[in-house]
Amino acid sequence: MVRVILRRLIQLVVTLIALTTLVFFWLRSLPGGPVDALLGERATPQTRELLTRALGYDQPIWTQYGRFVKNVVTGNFGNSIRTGEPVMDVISRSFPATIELAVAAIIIAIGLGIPLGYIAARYRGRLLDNATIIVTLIGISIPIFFLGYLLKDLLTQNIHIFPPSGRITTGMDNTDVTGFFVLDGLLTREFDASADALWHLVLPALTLATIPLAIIIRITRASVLDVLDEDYIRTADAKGLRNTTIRKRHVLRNALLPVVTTIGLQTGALLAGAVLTEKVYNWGGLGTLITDSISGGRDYPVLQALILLAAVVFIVVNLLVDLSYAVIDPRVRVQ
Amino acid sequence: MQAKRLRTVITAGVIAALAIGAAGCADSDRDSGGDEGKAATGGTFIFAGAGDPKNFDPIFNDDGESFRPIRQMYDTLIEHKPGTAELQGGLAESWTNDPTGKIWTFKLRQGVKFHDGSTLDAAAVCANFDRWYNMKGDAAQSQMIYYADVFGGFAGSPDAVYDNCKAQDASTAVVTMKKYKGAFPGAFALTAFSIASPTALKQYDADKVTQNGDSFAYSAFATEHPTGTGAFTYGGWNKATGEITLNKNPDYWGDKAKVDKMIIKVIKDENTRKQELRAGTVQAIDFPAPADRKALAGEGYKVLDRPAFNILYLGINQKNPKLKDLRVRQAIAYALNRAQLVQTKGPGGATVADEFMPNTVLGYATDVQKYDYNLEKAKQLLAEAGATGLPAVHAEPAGDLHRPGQRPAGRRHQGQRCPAAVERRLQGRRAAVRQAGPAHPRLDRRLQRPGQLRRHVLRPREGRVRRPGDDRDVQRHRQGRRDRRHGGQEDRVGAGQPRPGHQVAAGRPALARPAGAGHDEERRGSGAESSHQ
Repeated sequence: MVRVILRRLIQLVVTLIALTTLVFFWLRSLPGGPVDALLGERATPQTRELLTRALGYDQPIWTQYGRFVKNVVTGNFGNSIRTGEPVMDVISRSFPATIELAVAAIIIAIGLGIPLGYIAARYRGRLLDNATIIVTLIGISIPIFFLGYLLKDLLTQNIHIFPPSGRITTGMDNTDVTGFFVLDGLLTREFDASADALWHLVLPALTLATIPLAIIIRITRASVLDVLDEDYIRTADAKGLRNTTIRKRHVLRNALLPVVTTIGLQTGALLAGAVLTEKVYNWGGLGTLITDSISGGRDYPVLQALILLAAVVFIVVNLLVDLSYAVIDPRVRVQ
Repeated sequence: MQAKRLRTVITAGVIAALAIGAAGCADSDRDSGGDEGKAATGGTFIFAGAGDPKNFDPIFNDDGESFRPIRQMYDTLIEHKPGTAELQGGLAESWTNDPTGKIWTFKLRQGVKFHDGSTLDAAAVCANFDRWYNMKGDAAQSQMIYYADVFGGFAGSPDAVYDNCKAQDASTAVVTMKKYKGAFPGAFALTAFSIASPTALKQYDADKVTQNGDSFAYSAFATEHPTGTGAFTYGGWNKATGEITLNKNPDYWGDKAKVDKMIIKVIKDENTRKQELRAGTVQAIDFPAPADRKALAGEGYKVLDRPAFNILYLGINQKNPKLKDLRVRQAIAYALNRAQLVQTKGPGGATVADEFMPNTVLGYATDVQKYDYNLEKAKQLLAEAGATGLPAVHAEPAGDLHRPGQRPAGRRHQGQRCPAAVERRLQGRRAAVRQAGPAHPRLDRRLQRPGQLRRHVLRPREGRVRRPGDDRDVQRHRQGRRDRRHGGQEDRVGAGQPRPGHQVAAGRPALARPAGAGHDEERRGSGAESSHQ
């Protein structure tokens, strides 16, 4: 077990070193580069020169690389070009927003997905099964931004139930402690803020949950069907175990292995890529940050950090998935 | 089984205990219950902006989203009359210049206070001018884009325009320039040259701009304590929710704000801004999508148009030997069917321009040389010039015709004619406001913000197949533009800050030459100068 973790950590380090180097040279090879991104069209050649000197671009590339690596290792990604504040501040502000959204989405996806998948498998070939399959097909095939706009138009414009965008009502004046607004409201006893944040969370989380939900339903269904055909189920049945016991202990537990893998992968994808949902709902998380950094003035320092962060998140989530096998499946532990 | 159930129960219990225990372990920052005692208030006005500001120190900014809150918090010496390019008194009640155009005397308004309580006097105005001129450090200087452009440079630079500023008496500031420049007095109305409190500038170390990685960190003045004379004072920027709070300045010298609080809520997506407006969560929005104009107006929203402030033009490189002949350039001008281009490619309301600037700009003239579409004449001129083997024309609009803030949708007019000066009466530059109307006259002016001038580049080709890199100049030119910042970059030329003729020529003289309005340099030169008299 320890060896597995160690090996993964080494992989993580190697990946990060490679990515860091790539990101550095990618940035330097882009047309214009940060000097243009910072200055824009009004800049005179003198201003350009000033900036080149100020940023140290007149120094040899290896000196620049050395400085960059030093900064990255010490966790200093510089300041955002757009707002001038430290990149780590920008990211640590956006990260909770995305986690809040992703956690809500994954709770919806798991909470609905596993039971629905199980039910579909149990009533295989019947109406309920077919209905579930059709719904999941729709869930997978509807583009997320379209669904987002659809839900938004329906539930915020035609029927005013939910707020159209944002994480909290403007002017709520909520106290920011952890960055998780729902949690902050509880911590500071600003329960109205907490409820408001939760209310804002519903539509984005539903939108974001559709794809993982559909995938989880399908995987659960397939996996349960596989397990139901296994010999040990027949054995359990034959030795007179109650149906509920068989389902809980034998069917679900064995069927969960591939589902957990899927959940892990989906969580990674959610964290790194809630871009569309966040854009549609003006969520202000990492997804929004990515699009803003690219389209809104080429914010390279933020992008660099985001790329590395996405890699770390993905690798860590996958590591957790691998470790969870051991918890669920004793066979893995023995190996 | 039993044990497992028990474990589940315990887990649930622990979580519940944590939640209960946790409640109250952090303190609320809210103002506690002071509202009941207060008299009836003017309420809060929520306006949806389109992007994040950079910081709140006017001199270090050049984009519209930063200027939006800045204009509420600061004033300039001279202002524009709302919706026009005409000048009127701001912090200076009146201004005069000597015949050489080098000495500018500002008679300041009496009794104006900065938000920190200090008095606006001639010494404070001079402190601002001196601060800009004496700014130290590459990092800080490189961010003063408007200053470098208008004032030529900093202390010690041979190109610097500014000389000194003297407080003749408490309410008279005399600014002396080293040389005459046509940009004045209009430039004194630029938001970047807003007057800040010298006390606060010093207290919060405003000049401290430090380089970090690939960008800069700004001082506490720029990020937390912006202090001007404006109708609103700074109330904080919640970056997690994208809300900039501005509080009414009860001591404002002009028309006081009718609301107690204004929140600028950053919503980057235009569709979302519209939806928030409809949901009633914001009271006004900027930059609605052009396609929404009709619908919003039909629903009873007040949609305000900004007057046109854009020119599409064709630049001709006179250094190219084939284009050196005036007749060839005239032929190109005659060969362009501008009326058709306006009609087919321009947004509704666009008109053909005869001039190098929009008619909203001071100095706009109508009696100029016109080049109406005349193919015969073009051919004749070419024959006269003996021009043969003339290259096909390839031109790319610097921005999309319909949405100047965005990249061109594709290459238009490749190998064909290209648009010359096409004046645009934009549909895109609009703001929708709820019928309640804007909270403050200054806001009104912001909403009528004009757009910007755009450049066109023409590169002749030598009758050969176009290869990548052939028009490296064009590419470099395009890269040079700060690209398409959503909403924000629209203001590059100015929020109510017309920067006519000379600005365009200032960039890359060898690359971009105006063709649409007059064909010779002296014509353009005089046009620019006269516009500033």
